[in-house]
Amino acid sequence: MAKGKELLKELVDKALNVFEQYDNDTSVEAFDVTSLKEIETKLKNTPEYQESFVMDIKEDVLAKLSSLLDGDNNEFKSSISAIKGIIDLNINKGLDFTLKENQKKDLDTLKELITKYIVNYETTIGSKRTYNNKLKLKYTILRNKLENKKMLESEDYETAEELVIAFCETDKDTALDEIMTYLNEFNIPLLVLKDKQKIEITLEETDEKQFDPFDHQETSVIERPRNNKSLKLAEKMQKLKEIISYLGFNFDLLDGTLKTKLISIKDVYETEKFAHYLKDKKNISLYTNSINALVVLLTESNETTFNKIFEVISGLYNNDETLLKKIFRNGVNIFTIKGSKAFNANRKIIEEYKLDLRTSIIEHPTFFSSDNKKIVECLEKTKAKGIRNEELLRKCMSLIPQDASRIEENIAILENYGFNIEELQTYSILGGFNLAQKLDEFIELGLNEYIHANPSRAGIVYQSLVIKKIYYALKNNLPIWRSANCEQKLLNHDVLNKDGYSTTETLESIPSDKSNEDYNIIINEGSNIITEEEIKDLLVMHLILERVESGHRLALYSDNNLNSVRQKTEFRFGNKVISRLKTYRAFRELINKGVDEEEALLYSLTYNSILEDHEFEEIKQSIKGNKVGEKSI
Amino acid sequence: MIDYLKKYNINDEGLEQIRQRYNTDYLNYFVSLKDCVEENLDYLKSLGVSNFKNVLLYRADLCFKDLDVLKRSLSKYDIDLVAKLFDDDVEDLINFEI
Repeated sequence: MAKGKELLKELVDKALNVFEQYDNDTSVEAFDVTSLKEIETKLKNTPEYQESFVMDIKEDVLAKLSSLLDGDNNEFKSSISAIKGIIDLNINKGLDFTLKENQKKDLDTLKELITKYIVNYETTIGSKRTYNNKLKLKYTILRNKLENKKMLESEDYETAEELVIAFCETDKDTALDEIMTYLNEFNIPLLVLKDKQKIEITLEETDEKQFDPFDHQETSVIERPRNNKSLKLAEKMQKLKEIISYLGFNFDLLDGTLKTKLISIKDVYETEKFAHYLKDKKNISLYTNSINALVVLLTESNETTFNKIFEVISGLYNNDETLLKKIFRNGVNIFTIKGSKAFNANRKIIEEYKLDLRTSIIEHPTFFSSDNKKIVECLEKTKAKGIRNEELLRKCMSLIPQDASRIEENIAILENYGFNIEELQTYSILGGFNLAQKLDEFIELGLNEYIHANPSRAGIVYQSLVIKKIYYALKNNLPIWRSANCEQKLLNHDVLNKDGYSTTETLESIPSDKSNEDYNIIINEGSNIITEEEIKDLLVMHLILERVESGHRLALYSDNNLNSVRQKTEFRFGNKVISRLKTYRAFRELINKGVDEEEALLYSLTYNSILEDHEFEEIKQSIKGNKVGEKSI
Repeated sequence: MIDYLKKYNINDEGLEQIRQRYNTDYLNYFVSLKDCVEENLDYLKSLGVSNFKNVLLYRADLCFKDLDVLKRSLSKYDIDLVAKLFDDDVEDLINFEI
């Protein structure tokens, strides 16, 4: 009895501590939601607040709201920060202002995100807090009854059982036995006392009938929970152990994730039938011996779904056991209820683009169990840009489900840097990372002419440069990309070769007073895209930019493609090329964080650039700034 | 759920980054396809790859590929280049049709 008492006390304390911690952890969210609700109410009632509300959204809250967007949200965050900058500047100067259509659209999106955040909170954290409060109350009532020797009701037994299931980390069955024994021994004297009091009243009233305290309805309260919930749990655990054993594994040795998945099964007898079907009728051990795959089938599939997909797949591969094994190894998810729907929808995409379904499933299995809606959305967008989707699927099929937004962003980057998307002959580059930074690096090495000499081959030339650069780095034991280090470098170089390296190079880190890790982080967190429209806005708002825009940008004497690309992407400081788009992207981010204009411009121009000392001085002089190295934000 | 990745030198911070990077459905592949993930990562290890965090963050799709397909796509290149790519520039594997 003593053991059961201690165990129960320990579990109650543990549960209440967990809830306490949860309340502390979620108090920030609760505070955010209160603030957002105030903003939402003000938005409904105050017409002049429709744009200025953005000033009341703090950066950390903006980050949380942006995270609700699908895909990369950096562009959205940057746009909102820019809007805040515009509003702030104009309000301070007492000027009227009109936001652009796309900025208004972003504000509308932000309003939708506020509502979504509040709803999400109330349906998840908020409702969980309410639910937790109910549990806390139950556990506190149980503790008070035990401390004050009050008689237990059936709900208290259920509460004790819940505590064991949720918080006991050792053998739950033994713990439950000990706790129930303790509760029974605790409750019997109180029950007898209560019944004696009752019978005394009854005898007084009727003066008849003998009393047997154990032949009474309340007595069943003591036994009922043990015969009901705990027995059900014990039966379920036993059945799960039998099922897993039947499939050739030991339940007790499974890892926690698999056990949790199995315990969440609602109808264990259906699962048992399904397990027998898999083993006896489908000879599942021929195709997989992975317990993880089997648990996925047991918990997320059923006989009908499995059979339908199995028929399709085994027909497709002519019952080839080796190939079927591969499918179960890499693509077991297509046999689940959710995965089978995705499979049926995604195979239509493959058929539509006349790709080989057999090969596609073997080579890109997760594509087939992924969200069809997202894939279709991505392909619609790429098609609208002139991408040949069958070729895109050949090159990037396994990347599309998870990284559709990056592919879309890379298309925008290539357009931004003057590539003709419709003429693009290689789509592999669409699946890469840090495309803008790599293009900046090539531009600053003077390779624009080499890349864009023939517009229809620009993509292929870029790709071959990347490959050459990697081989060269391997051969000479050099880092591949400067931008990967997120640090500015100085480099003495003579002549550039077409490997994207100088022929004699000495890498040297920029002196610490010229590099600023805080700035680098700000720049790296920003969007990789900047439109000409945004650049025009920056030029209007920051006159200092005219010093480089008018003085160091190529004049457009002819409208040939190369000149137009150069004019769009290059600044010239003597013989040194600086990426114009890199400069404005970095400048936008630094200015949005309140960095001084002159310092932001110099830092942006030299960011990630390889410069000789005299080149650095020339850039510095051209913007007449002497504040390099100040690191205050 | 993905703690088994620790044996590939992924620390708690790395695991958290992986959890943040992917949605629930995609993370579930690490559970349902655990055997496949382990085989593929072990194969990369045998080639001298050591930076598994970048593989998991940038190209997790390679962990879910058929091992023979993965071997075939890597066999076209020098083993040192493969190790260098995986460790230093996993983001450009796609340019090698990997």
